[in-house]
Amino acid sequence: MSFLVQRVAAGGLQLAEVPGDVLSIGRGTRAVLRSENPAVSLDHANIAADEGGYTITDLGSITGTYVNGRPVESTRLGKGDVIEIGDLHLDVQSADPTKPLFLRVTRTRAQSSDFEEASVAEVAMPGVASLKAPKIDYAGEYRLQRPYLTKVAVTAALVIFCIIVIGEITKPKKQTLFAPGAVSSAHSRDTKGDPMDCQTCHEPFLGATSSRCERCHGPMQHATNQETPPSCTECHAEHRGQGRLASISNNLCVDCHGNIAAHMRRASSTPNVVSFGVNHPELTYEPDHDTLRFNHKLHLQKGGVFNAQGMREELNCTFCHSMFDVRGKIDPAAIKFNNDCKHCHRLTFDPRFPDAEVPHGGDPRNAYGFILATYAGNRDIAGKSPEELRRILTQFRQASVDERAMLNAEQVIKVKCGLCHEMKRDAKGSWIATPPVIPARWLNAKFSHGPHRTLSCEECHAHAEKSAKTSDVLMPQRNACVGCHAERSSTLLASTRSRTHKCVLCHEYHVHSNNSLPRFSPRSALVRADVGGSSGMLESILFAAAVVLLLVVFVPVGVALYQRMKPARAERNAERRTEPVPPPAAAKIPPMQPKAPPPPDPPTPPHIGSTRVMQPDEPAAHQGTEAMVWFGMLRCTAGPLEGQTFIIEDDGIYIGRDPSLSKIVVDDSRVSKRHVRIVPRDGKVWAIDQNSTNGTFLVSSAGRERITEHQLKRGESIVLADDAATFMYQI
Amino acid sequence: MPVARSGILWRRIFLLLLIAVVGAYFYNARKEFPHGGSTLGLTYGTIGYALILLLAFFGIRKRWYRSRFGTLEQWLQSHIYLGLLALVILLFHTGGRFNDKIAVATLILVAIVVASGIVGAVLYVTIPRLLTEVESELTVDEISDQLNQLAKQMARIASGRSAPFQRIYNQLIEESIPGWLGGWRLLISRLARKKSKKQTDLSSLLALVPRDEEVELRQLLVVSRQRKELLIRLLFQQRYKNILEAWLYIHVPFTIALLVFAIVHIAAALFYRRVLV
Repeated sequence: MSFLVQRVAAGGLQLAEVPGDVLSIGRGTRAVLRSENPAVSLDHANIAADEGGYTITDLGSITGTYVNGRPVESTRLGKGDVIEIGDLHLDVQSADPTKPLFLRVTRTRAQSSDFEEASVAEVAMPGVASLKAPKIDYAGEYRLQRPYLTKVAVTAALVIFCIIVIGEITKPKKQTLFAPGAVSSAHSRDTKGDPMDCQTCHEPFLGATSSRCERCHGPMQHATNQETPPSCTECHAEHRGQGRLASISNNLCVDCHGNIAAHMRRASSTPNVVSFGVNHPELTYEPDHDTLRFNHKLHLQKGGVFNAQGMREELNCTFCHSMFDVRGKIDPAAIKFNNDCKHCHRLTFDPRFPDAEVPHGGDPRNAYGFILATYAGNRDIAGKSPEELRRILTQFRQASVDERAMLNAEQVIKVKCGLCHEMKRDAKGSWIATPPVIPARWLNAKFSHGPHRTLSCEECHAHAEKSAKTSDVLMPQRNACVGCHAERSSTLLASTRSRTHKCVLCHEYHVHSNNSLPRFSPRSALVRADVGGSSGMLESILFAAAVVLLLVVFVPVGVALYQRMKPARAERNAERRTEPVPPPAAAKIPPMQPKAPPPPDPPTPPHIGSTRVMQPDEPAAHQGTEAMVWFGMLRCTAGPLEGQTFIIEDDGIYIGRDPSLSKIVVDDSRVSKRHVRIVPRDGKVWAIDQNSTNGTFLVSSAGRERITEHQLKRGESIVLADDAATFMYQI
Repeated sequence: MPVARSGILWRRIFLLLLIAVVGAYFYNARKEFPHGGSTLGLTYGTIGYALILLLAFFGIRKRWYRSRFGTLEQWLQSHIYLGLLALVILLFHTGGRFNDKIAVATLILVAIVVASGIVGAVLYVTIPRLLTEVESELTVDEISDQLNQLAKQMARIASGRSAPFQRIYNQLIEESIPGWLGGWRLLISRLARKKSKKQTDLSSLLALVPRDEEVELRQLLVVSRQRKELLIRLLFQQRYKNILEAWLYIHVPFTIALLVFAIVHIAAALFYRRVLV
């Protein structure tokens, strides 16, 4: 006796002959006809051959054995019978007792739905209620993608959010969000103290143009012969977080001035300069006009000079060149006779009149008038100011001039004034002093004595003590400056060194003549520009985009919700229809379902104890995945069960030899009947040895270690007895 | 896992470009104030944006099965390494200045996208190995079919039984119905939980079942247990699959948001600054 099993495989039909009297069917390794499907028990059924034919016997399987759609315990097979075991579908092609049983095996998964419908229709029995299992696409339900939650929907939601954010920040007043850095203090606020609008300086798509700068600052230019003037922003870069825009680095100047010829089309005499310390030209000053006689050496001589009282007085520089503080800049005031010279040089002319001093400056005729008037007896004019004298003298009638007095006056003026002034005779023959020309500013650069006040005067104006000639220019030379102002000067503090070598420290880039000095009047010049007249358009574009995206998001969500609601409502209606199921306590006779087919077997009347009272059915809330508890699984890596996996249940599983005591049965005499228990406790999985004879061991890198109780970690293996079986814990 | 050849190739390209980008930046930083609008900054910004577009094109190329322009594997490797490079380039594009809030938001989005991409790449290396560990011979869809079949069997067993029996059946079935956003909760739920109250309720119900239905009840419970094991298997396989996919729910939408912000950033740069002569 034997069996012929024909399988439908990918390559076509396969035929195999199985010798023996019994064909075992199941999921276990002992089975000859195997299926991996969990619906098939380990030992599901077998087909035994005897003289009378072939008999199929269910071996207490869970899912049952069906022949021609009916569950069977044991039945004899005939030709044409169809056996269904789990997913196995066996067609009995021939059942002749004298020949091998011919079985054709197919899997039913593909036709499972048809099969289900058929079987449900068949087994729908008119009980208390016939049941229909819900058909759920578990794989689909547990997928991330939901009809209302797709990547497109998430994307659209996010984009809507982005557009709202962007719409908010492109509003006129909020565009500082685009600012790539803080603006300088002068540009940060307008005259009302509000943040300055971007478009005050920025022209759309052109950037911050010079014309926008000139709106407030007026036209500004560098040297008049500059051929390609740079735009304002090339030097004054905004949004860099610096407080002042005028702090320009040397590089910008040296770019051109390092090699002037390369930037000029025609020849230029301007020297090339790389830095002040290297090849900066010597400081040049205009020559002294030599119109006033002054001897620095004499005034500064040791031991002093005689003053008006006839006492010797020692002078220093600031005795005459007094320093004045004008708006933070400390500089020497211009020398005035009345302030600086008169202390010693009193303009008296006759010892008989010790208080009569000739008025200094103004019309030379005043001096004549004063002297003549003094000799004429008009003593009351002594000590009057020049303006008052002029008024008094012009009121006098022209008195006949005393010849002697006239000679005296000539002599006084020639001697007294000629001490310092260059004296000439004018057309009428009177003595007249050439007006002195003293430059207000010698150095053609930004300079203040203030920062240099810690130095003594001689350190820069070294020649003063030796200069006897008026034409000596006592201004410092470059050497005096380079000591501190060279690029790598070591004599200065580090805090100031970074700016003391800058070109703009002394040089002014823009040409300021007094006439063209721009009057900065932001009040009149600022044009309040809202961003964009285009902002309205921008808003409508954003609105349209938001509407489109809302459709993309909410329509699928709405559809999905509707679909979700519909079955729920249908279910509720169905429930309402079946609601009149009376509580079993009251129902002695099972109510007949109107549509139920007639019963093939008399239904078992439900046994109801008279004292039992049922609670009315309450719709159970969706439990979902919470009810599912996963503690991992054991994979047998060695031993008779090798390759099989066992899921760890929440109340634990026993491994042992005795099938009645243990769920995982290891058929090996070294294993105790109940060997080890694998049980979850507080979310962790423990292996607890059940006082086994040969012990349970934990495999670790150090070797094997006998355990009584051990918390299993992922990947750990336990060995039962002496290599009887090895189980690895996996998650 | 053997490293694919194109992986080595792209790693070398990545390293070379990285050195070039960093070197050029520091060489240029001495001559030019480093910021997004400097010559180098604009170059890096343009390259960065082009890279973002190219990287985003991967999403199209992935689904464009007919394309013969490079193998998908090469595209994936270049996607990974050029994605890392894009972040570096855009970081240097900032020149270390983080004031423009739109630009910073864009950069943060780039960082999110790249970070999620790195997470995804790591997951793709580690998870499939774990998945094969738990993967049974059955696919998720097959298990799903089986679950429905077993549910049919349970229905078959419970049909025509007493009300408590059917309530037990109902509860067993309802227990296994996936909840709202089940796939997502699978990602975050701790797998081991305390016993739910429902199961203890079941035990009180069990006492109500008539004695002569006990055989069927045991059958029902055994089928249910089997079904539960299957469901756990399914959940576990599906969980790994979901982990493999979940990061894309950040990666893809944020890429699009990034494109929106990048366009606004570029538009603002063009609007406020003369970039093109």
